Amino acid sequence: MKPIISICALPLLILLSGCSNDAVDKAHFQTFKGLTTKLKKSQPGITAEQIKARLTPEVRAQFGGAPLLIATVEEPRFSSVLFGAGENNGTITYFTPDRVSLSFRDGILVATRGLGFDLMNADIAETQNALRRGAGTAQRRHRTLGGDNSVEARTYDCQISLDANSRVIEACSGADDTFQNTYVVDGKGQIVFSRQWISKQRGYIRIERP
Amino acid sequence: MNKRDERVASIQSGARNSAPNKGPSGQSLCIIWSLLLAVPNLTAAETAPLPQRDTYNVYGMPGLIDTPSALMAPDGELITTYSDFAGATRASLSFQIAPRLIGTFRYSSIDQFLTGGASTYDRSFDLRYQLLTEGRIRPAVAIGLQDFIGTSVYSGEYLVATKHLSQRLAVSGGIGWGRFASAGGFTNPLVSISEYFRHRPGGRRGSGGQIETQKFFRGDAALFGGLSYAVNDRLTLKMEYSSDAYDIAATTLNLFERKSPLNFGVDYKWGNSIHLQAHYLHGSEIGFTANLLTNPKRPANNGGAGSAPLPVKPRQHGIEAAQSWPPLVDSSQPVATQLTTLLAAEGIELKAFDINGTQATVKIANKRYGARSEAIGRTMRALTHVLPDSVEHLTVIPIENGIPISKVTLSRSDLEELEFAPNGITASFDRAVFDDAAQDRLTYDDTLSGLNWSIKPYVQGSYFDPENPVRFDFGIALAAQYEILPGLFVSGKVQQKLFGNRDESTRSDPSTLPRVRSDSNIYAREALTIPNLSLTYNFRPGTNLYGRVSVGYLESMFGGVSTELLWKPVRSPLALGVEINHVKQRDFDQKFGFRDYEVTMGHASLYYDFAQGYSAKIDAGRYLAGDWGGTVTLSRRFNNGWEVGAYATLTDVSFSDFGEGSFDKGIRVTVPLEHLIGKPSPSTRDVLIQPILRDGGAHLSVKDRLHPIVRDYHANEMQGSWGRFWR
Repeated sequence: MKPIISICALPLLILLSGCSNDAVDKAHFQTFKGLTTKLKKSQPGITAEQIKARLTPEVRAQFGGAPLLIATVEEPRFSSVLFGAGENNGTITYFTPDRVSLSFRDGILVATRGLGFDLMNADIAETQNALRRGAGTAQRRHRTLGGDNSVEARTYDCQISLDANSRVIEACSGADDTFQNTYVVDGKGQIVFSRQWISKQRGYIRIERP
Repeated sequence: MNKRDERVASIQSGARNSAPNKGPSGQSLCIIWSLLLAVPNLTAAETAPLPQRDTYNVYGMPGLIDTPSALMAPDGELITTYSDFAGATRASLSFQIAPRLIGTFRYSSIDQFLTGGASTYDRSFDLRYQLLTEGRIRPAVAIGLQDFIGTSVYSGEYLVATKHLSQRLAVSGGIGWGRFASAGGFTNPLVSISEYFRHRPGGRRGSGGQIETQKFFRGDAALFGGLSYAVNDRLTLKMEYSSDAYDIAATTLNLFERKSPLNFGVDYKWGNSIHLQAHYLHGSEIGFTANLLTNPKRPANNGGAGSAPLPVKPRQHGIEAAQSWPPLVDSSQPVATQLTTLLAAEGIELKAFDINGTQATVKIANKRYGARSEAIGRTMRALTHVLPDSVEHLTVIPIENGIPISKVTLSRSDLEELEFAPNGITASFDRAVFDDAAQDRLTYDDTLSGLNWSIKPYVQGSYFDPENPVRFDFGIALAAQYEILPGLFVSGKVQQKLFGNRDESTRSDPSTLPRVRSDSNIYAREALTIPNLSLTYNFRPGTNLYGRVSVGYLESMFGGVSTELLWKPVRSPLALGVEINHVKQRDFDQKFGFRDYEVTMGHASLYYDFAQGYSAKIDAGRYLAGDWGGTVTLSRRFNNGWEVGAYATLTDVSFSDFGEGSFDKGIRVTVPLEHLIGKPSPSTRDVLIQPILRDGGAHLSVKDRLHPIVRDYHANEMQGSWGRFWR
């Protein structure tokens, strides 16, 4: 082997970790462990149904009486319970116990954090109006962060309509992507189940009230 | 052909970290190669619907096999190429500097090149500029210089055009000089302009390493060209007519027989980041090329996760609503205690806290976020959970190395209003006020960071020694730092080599200068060393001013006193600095003794940030060997912390006294760990590729220089990553 090639054959020294009293180093070590387990076969996680079964009144009480949601990311599939952690001017933010957050306005997803490929914010004022009417057109605008932290804004034109099962379908298309959100609305106009699009790489998330 | 006078050179590298005293300080070239290897594995694949359009030649540039095309890589792309053909091995690192400018550094070996059959090792640099972008009818046109600095084994110039006839089929054709005219050459058409172009001078200037302008576009010219056809988005077939005669390899050295000017290649794109290529060259040889691609603009691994921030807690909460939310912190405790708890969970240390009427001010140490704006944003959101409703103005002062770096103020009403506002990112930056923080004293001030220590493995490399171009040491390093008073740190490192071969180098290059760097191989022979042990005081002498005094064993080869003063207004792209050092050369054993040589040296520096991440730094002053001169550094920094830069140093040491390479130059790549692991981290890895390590133009390698630490928390740098304020 030519000596020059040995440059290329070196291990991932960047992730070398040692021991330290420092938070940064510990975080790296944790991350490294996290990566290695992630690279192994992903274990089948808990399903939304199993979470529902476990949400006894006692468990609900542990969340301090906060409103709860169950969310399922489709790819890679995993589910978690979320508890309401705060409201700012009509936008409610829910947290998973391991600190992923989802924020909703009238049940419409407007922000995610901690998932990766997050939705930074979404202007959904027209979608709100069209959902109230049950049909119509709406334009929404999503902002995400690029790999170099630049803000990327995309506009989507959406058609809102009812399908045969009385679910509200919001079919959107933009320059790069198309997606279709689904909402199940109860008699009081509350969204009780939805399947909403986060971003191109993160795909869809299903949200239901337990 | 002269026997090449190859010299030992080195790549130095180190880790920089916003938190003090982290990281093994002696990593190396291997890291960047590993990084480039690592990225494809860690980055989520995005499949492009279009056929593959990017393919690279054996020199690591967009092109066919031997020949170049007029195409560019995506902006910011870093391409590592390893190529092997007929005894010639080439390792290249290319960077798409700007959308129409790409550059390459290459290290190559040619078997049996030297008398006696030894291989030669050669360093070369290329540049290509795209004069015209491709239009519907118009082809892309580019002009290029290959191996234009250095020993000129591969030197040649070209003008080339490329047109995509369809999505799949691209055709290139061009005219070349120098190496590109070594087969099928004809009289230079530029002779019609001037007889100057008729003959190309041979040899090279002085001791190599200079820009060989006297050769550009001179001597015979020849035509070359070829086709690339993308079968699908993975597989590309290439064919070319090469005007490279491989004179030395084919004729002089008989490494192969050049039977034909036609070359054929196949390029398979594996995943998102790796190209594997095989070539059939010149009717007689099989060659292989691998390209590893990465790009600072690609999404961070996983799209950048990390735990979600606290939401803003608005004041106009109805009482009923408030009751339904679980409290996030025990509100019976003092506000500062609550805040310490909330921030600790965010990887932020509360250093000082003060409420004065409607104004709350905190000092923080960011231990987690490479994007400094994220530390500011999370601190402000945490404040909304603990402050009384009467407080309206929130000010965050980040502390690095014991000194306040800037002061960011935003009104609480703006936070409440903009958290989910569609224009919230830009509006919050526009409304944020950036100030100097030199004078602020808070009620509960001066929390010390105490003792930080780490035990870590390290790798140290020596490169480009023709006897063995890559040598490594592997060992373990214990580092510790203790803050005695605010800004006053004692820090040190002890390193024990476990195994390696850097001590095998027996070179002793003659040097007419004091041997300030050329004895690096002797320093490498010691197994147990103290790379640094020093007392450092960082302070703020006044508004916009930052100071540092370091005393002790400053780096592995020098100890003494280093002083630095930096002027950098918070909103200014311009900074000025002065550094004056008096240092003495350390004993080879790198413990407590010194050698005889000592020198007073230092620089005045000018730093300027142009738009879009491009920056320049000019140093003028005296270098370690007592030589006077200047260094120009040009860099491109991405908003996520990636940085690629190149520098050149010219001093009053003559090119012949400097020796091989003529003057000091190098390339630096800084990689943020955050981008690779997909979770917040303030750590970066810094790799300096210094093709020739000589005694002229040598800088002192003192740690904790001020400008890189200070600029990160200033308005210019934070604006680019302000989206992270809300993450």
